[in-house]
Amino acid sequence: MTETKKQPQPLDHLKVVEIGNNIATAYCAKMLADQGAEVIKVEDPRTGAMDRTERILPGEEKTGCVFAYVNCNKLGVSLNLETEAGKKTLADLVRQADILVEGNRSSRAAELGVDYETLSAINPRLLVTSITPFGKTGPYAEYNAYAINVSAAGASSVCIGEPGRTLLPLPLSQVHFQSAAMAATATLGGLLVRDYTGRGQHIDVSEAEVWITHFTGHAVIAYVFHNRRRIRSGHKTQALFPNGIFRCKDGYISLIAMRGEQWREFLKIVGEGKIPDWYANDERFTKTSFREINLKYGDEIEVLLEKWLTTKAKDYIYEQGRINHVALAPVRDIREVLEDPHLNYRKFFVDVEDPQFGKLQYPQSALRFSKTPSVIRRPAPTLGQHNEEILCGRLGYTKKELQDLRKDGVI
Amino acid sequence: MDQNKYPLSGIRVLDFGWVAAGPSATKILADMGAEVIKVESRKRPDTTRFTPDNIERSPETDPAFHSLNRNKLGITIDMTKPEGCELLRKLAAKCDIVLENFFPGVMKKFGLDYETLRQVKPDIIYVSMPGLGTWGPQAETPAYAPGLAALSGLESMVGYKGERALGLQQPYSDYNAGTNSAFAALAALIHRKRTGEGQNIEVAQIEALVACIGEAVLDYQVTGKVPGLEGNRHGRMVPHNNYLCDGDDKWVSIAVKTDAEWNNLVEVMSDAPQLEDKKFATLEGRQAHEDELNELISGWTAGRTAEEITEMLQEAGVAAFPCMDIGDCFLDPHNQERGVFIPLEHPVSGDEFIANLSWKMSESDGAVYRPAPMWGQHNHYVFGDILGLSAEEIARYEAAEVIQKFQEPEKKE
Repeated sequence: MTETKKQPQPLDHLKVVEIGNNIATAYCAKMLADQGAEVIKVEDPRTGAMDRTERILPGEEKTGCVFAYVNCNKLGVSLNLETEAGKKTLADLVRQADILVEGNRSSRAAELGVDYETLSAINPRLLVTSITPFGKTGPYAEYNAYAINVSAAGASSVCIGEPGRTLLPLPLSQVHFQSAAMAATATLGGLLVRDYTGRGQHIDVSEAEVWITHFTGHAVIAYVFHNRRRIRSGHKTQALFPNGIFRCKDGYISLIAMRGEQWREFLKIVGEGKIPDWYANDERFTKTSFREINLKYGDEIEVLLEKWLTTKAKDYIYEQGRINHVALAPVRDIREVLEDPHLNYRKFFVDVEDPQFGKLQYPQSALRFSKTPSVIRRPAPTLGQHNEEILCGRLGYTKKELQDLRKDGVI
Repeated sequence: MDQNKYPLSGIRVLDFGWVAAGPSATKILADMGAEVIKVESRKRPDTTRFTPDNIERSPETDPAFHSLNRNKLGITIDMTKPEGCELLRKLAAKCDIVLENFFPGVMKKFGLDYETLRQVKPDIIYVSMPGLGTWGPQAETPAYAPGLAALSGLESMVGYKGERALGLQQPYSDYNAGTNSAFAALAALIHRKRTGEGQNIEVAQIEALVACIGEAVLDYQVTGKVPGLEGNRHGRMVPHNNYLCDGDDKWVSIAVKTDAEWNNLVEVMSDAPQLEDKKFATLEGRQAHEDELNELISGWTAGRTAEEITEMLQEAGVAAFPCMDIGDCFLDPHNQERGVFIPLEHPVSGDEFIANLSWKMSESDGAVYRPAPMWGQHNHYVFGDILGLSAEEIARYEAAEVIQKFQEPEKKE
């Protein structure tokens, strides 16, 4: 795919180096790239970045879809940072850069020369954003952790699953995407500080901490001093009001009624115009406040509701909710999401020609800027795709130097 | 706080955010030093003043509200009165960013939409966070976080293998949209600095969620397979599970990606010699015998605490961590060393702990420095010092119940 014509973008004056480690660093750099920053993804020439082989099938050695998704809009350079020549080339890139994103534990970062001390000596204006499971300091700084472990550490898994059974993690790469988005936000904060100090700084983002501070830790007082433990409760939230996922004819619908009138409107949908008799004639239900109905009679009411719900398709129920202003939503699968008329009307999915997969529909940036719209300019790079363009074109290396680096396995 | 040295020092935000999505976005801006003015009405309270965790049931005692709205200033105003909206338009003219997460059309009805506000402040940055967007065939659909997660496809992937969909059962959409919107506001500020140009930004929460499962959208197109419920299974890692440990409902997460990690795990679990079986030596083998392998590991974890298992496995470089609840997080030595929760005194609730910033910057990152506003606590500062109204004018607005007068609440015993 050829690069589309340049339109102004908020970050199109910025140069970013991403040390390709994992999905979190890749998504952080993608968010910057989507707003116009030039991102050079640096990968190990021997193995490629770790995110190349995330979520592919065993036995397959090709690049996976997650890589294609989180690396579009980037340039790709291969560089063995365990060699002196590799470190020197990285230093040349860093001298021209505004931001470096990396995701190594402290000990490994020092080995590769991507620790803040080394990098800021090369370029004091550089912002270094690190995303690691537990942050760069503290007793767990060197711990090994994958998404399921961060989901556990972030007090998230403890809320997902059925009572008495194993806990479930957040699906796919949620853990990484959230820490990436927070890291990208903090990075822009660091840029604004640099505008008046002239200096870069180190931004240390812990994935577990992003979850605790932004998602799950708001009511810590209630947990610690009032012993209100939030525990998993299956398909219905342990909440004061009706809130859960219920079976219907062709799948599931999600219902949440935050106010009494929404609950009554929902019951009227189920009763096809009036509160159903089984509810209206049962004093236990009518004499309980809607706030407590879920806690007191949730299971019983669910069985009664499902008698009607399982005769109706989810899109019919969704439509009824829309007409009557009740928050009912179908549980969509991925195919249904891709075919969703609303998202397609909004042109949320855009065609991108990937060298490996061919033309696919990608979700575009969800941030819709009126003056500086985000575009997908190019697909994810192949390993070392832009070596010559960057090393010769940008850094002024000669063809001979490039050949030598290649011969020595540096690139 | 030295407000002059933080990322957003000197930036003022008019915050119409309510419930969790909007407030979680402006929380980030306030943490970075922006002066955030939270607009509230006593007639229609922010639901986060009364979450289930608010045990005293006073509008000034909700711990989640206190966390989401720390650092912000609070005003109370009646937006159903035209003079109220007129005051807010004048206030918007003194702000850099306006953020809202009302139902589509609400801000236009009040004359507080982007097109109106750019007349009074041409370079205003205006961020909207509607559930399904402000335009499109289903824009006007009532939507809260759980329904949005359902519509996005996320909920269809949460549940035990081969069973029913369970869903996340947490307001994931709110906080996801919050971070995305804060990022967008900062990018727009950078653009304004360079060009002098403000703009309107729409972050439809549904799109921000689908962006979080982009790889599944691509995978489906490549393989033709609709991803379903996988429980704790992962295509490239075995074991990959939460295992029951010693204690009351205590679990440990363990994940193995490489054969080297597997060998280390086998060594640590040497008193479960069946794990040494060659059939588990490769990923393919472990996948073929995953249930059996999970049984064996469960047998080993059952008599040990999640903490000691974590220590033993991490010592050997194997990814393991206890499944913590927020109480565990609070007491955890690592989190204490990093100051993940910090004490903050609230005028009604007294001493509290609040979740700290979500990042650490080596020089100037922002701070948690002011407790969440009481209803209308900063009316006089905002309408007097910022907007320039005289004390008499404010008193007149208060008498007309346009500005809802601040009433000092009783302090908790």
